[in-house]
Amino acid sequence: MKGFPLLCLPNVALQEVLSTMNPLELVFLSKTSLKAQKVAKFFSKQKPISQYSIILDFENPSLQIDGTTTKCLYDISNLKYMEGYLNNDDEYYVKYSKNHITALMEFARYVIEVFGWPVRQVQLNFGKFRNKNNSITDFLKIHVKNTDFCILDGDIIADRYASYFFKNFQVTVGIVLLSKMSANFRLILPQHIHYLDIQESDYITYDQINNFNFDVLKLCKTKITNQELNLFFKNWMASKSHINLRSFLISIENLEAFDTIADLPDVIKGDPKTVRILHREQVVGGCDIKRNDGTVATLYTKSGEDGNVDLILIVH
Amino acid sequence: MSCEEPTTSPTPENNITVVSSDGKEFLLDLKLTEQSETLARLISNFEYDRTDVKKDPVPLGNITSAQMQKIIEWLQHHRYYPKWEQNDIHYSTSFTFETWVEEYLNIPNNEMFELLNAANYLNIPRLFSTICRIMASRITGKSAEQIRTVLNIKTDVKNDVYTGIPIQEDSSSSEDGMSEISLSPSPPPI
Repeated sequence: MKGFPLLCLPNVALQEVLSTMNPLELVFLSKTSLKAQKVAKFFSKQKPISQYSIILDFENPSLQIDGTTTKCLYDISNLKYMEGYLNNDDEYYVKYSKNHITALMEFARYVIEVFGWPVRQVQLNFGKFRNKNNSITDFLKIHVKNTDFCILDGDIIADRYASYFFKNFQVTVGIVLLSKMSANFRLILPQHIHYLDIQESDYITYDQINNFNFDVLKLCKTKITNQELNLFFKNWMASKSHINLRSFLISIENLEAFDTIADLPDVIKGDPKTVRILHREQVVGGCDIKRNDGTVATLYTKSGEDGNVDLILIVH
Repeated sequence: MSCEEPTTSPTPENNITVVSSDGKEFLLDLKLTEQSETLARLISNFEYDRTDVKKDPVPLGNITSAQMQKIIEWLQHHRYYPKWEQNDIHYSTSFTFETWVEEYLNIPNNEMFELLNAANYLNIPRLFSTICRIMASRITGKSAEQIRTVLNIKTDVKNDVYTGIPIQEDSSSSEDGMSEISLSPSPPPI
């Protein structure tokens, strides 16, 4: 049977057909010919196709395209027999390649150039494809330019890779840093981000956190002392630092440390038998502290991962 | 959904005559024309819904008699369906079509293409959307290579700049690709 001349349809019909296709199918259609590519590029500026966004994962090399009603995954695998749609799921395509990162970069570059979808999140593992770390950053710098969130992981000391990453690639909203850094690593973060989560934060000094001004701050495995934390909260109460802070979590040694840290003026202790809901978190006990502008926050503890105790501040 | 279809016989008061491009006349019940925004607007403009107005045959220069026959079949089947509500168009994993529609559209690709153009010309949104969704569903779950086969896209000499894999140029139309961009269907000149 002769093929359906889809690309010869009037634009109004073409737009309707393309709008009912999932983003992976749109990408594949665009790759069928130069005309198809032009058509895809044109309609990518219009709703609903313009509303997709991308998550780029260099840890488990894949590109996810998210829309309001769908999530499609383009996964790179070194298993030849896996190539194609996984289990006939038209939202999960596996591409065979021995060069995962190169294949992902080629696909991402094509998708970004043709469809212009923003990259909402980048995930990178510095330890997994070590010799590709800087070329990934270079790729991001040239082709992605910026992202809302990034998640950086890796079981190696990643000082130079992380520095290179932050120097060359712009993150606009939040950073999750899971990789290890050396004790004397000086983290230089992009300005204006709102969210910072550092899981291995033993290189973060008190002076550094005093200069942070994020909405959400999480620091685990820290070397910040109880006295420094006490000073941190006193500074917050005096509006000397962290004016934008909405939520703060830091791992502390044990429950006894709470007494030292929460030795603050005008503390109002919470009822240990009452459960309060603050920012969707269940809070039992703890204490309320007040900033000099009247803003109230609750300070409390809860069990963290690996048997740690997490000290949490939630600003009301 | 399915609807009961009471039989009605067209009378001169409640029908108009349309003429296909090959000169064949079709008597159309005014009730049926409500599904075509183009015809409905024409009937309203010329007040053909009034019994005291002389109704001239309406020439449909872009529609052949075969297409008109097919369209009337669609209009008859959907005669008592509620008015088509165009929701936001977006990708959905679960388009289903009733058996009648699947059988109705089990036609060669060239006929489907012509029918879609006719639905666009007459502005019959339910038929138009249904064909578009059927077309999209034919591409579902297909790789670029398979889509080339479905759409019968001919080989191009150029290589994909990103992968080095040959990509192919659709030889069925001109190189410049996009026609004048107009995203709202325009009514036929009457």
